[in-house]
Amino acid sequence: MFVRQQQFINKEWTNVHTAPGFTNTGCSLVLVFGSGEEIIKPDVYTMLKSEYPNAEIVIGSTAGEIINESVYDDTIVVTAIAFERTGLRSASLNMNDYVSSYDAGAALMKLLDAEDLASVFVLSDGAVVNGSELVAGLNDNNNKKVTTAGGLAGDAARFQQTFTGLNAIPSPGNVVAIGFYGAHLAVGHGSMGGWDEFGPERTITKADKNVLLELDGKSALELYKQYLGDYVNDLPASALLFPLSLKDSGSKNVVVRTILAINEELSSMTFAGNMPEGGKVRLMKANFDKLIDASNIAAVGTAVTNAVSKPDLAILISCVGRKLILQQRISEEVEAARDFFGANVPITGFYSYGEISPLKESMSCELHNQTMTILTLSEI
Amino acid sequence: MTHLPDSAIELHKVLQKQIAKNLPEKFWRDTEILTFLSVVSGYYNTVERDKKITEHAFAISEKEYQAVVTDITRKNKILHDAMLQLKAAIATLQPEAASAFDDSDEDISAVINYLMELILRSKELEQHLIHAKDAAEQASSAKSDFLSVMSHEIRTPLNAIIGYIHLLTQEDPLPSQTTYLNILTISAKNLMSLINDVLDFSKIEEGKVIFADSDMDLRKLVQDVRLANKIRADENGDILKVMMDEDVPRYVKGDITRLTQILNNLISNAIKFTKNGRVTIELQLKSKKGKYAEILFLIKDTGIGISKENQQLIFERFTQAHSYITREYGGSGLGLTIIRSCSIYWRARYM
Repeated sequence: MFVRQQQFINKEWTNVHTAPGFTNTGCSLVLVFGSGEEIIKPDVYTMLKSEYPNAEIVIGSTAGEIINESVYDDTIVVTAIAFERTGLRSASLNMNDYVSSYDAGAALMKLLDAEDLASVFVLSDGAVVNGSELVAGLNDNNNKKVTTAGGLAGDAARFQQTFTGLNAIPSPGNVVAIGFYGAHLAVGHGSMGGWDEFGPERTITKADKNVLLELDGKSALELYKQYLGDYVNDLPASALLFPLSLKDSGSKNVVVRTILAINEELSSMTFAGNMPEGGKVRLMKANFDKLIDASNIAAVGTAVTNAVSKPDLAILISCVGRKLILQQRISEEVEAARDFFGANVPITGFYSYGEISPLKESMSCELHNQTMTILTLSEI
Repeated sequence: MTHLPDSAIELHKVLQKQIAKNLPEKFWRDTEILTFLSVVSGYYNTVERDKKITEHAFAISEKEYQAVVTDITRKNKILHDAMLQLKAAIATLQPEAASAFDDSDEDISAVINYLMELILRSKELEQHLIHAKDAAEQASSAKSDFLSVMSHEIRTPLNAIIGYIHLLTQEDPLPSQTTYLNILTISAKNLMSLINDVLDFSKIEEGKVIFADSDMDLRKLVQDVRLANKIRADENGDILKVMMDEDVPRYVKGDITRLTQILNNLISNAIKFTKNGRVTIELQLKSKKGKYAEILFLIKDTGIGISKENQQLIFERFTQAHSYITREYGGSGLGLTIIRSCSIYWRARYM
């Protein structure tokens, strides 16, 4: 497996790193993460297509780009991959053609299903797709129980429109999935938030998908505002500092759920993932050092799942919320991952509107908010 | 004191103080040092935000903690009061038990143990009662069995007696002998019918009787019953009348034998206790729902009647309204019991 990394920065393309043995024609997969404004320019896709004629080109908009140790805004990071012994198949569909995000997830998984399917990478629209439903659709049709991971595209800190595309100029509403085939790909995954839970546990008593209405029979928004105290004046921005932890009834796993919007009229809160009735929630708070440490823990997690500590490529998918909170310290979380992988592992990634990854080894994938999620690829 | 340059004004307040105090003035305008200081200042800012958030979370936790403590105190008070109430109740109901507990509410397990013992005891008592009831039922059933066996055993020689009396009457007896033989015949037949009643009753008691569901002509049935009882009515000087309403369905399904038996029993009873009076059999349609009809059989007589307090008694086995009745009118006291048992099967009522 050979990797080439490029970046479009200050209106210019620069070659960041090219592994010896990499050839443009031998390249079969190109991952492109960039600001929405830049990646929808037709020149970008045209240039990449002519440079990598035999590759599947996957493009997604971001809330920030990650390349090696650094975090950027308004750039494009390109990772071109030449696999030696791994087969690929791609699939893409648009939400306009599907009734629900669940159906879209199910359809994608069916398109990629095969006897030797080894892993699936998903890059989804982050504005019109319901991430929880998409993940449920993927899981229910994951017959080989292969590692499925990826993320939802971002739109800087605007939360309006995201762009994704497969072998095309990216556009809204697309969900792209890449299937990896064969026995020679080792996939590692790790996901960690680093948030502190506090306060009493409460039960979701009224909710509709990702809209939360009541906790313990009382208005969830009123309760949340009581918690926020003085921070209530900074809503909705301050909601990023205090997400909720969610434990589905009957499940031990805790996922983080970010508040995307609040509606005073309906006394409702909209989250970046479903809030199932019967689920248990607790308040969470940011702890900057723990958020950064979490990135290192996620990196360690990738080696636990596939026993490879120096992968051929590490893909970091981190939440936009972390970037808004950590502000100038944001590159520290990428450095924390670098600390584990060492100097020579190529790192790419982006800030997303939702991370997709299993929480532990050999479990179905889940939608996360506010985590650093890392996916590693190595050919063995 | 010299003021820091404008470029340092953005720095964290604590850092500004530290610079003013500890960094020689010659470095204050050094761009490289200032760049470094702005990074340090950024870290100061995040640490401060972190501290604020942590303090806020602590304040929320503290508030929740106080709420939980208040709630626990309130619940403890309720528990304490409930314990006192419970003890007071026990003391009132069983004064001797009250001394087992002290005044604190810490001996809850002693109270629970005491209550558990009470419940166990009452359960035990309940079991005893159930056993006693079962035993009584078994004894009663044994009695019925004995009656039924004995009746069979008595019937065999009785049949022989009746047979030989009949043969004797064929042998031209003397007039005085004829009188004795007639008395013997009547007595033997009375005995036979008494034994048949006993047999019938024990069969019903054991649930061995199966009710038929055959077609029957109600008009013919009541006429037959009238005819069968006419001779005895004539003997008592009674007028026996049948009245059947127009709307009573003539053809119905049911058990002819049992219905005849019940009517015969009631009518012969009525005749038995009526001298020179009137006995009426009346049929009325009470209601009709689909294929089910509720028919009222009314047996009226102008006889001695039954007092209110005895009306409950007459359906009990071996019981008559008055013990003198047996002496004056005869009978086993089984007739009405048999018809009541039959009627329960039909969900009929006696009024």
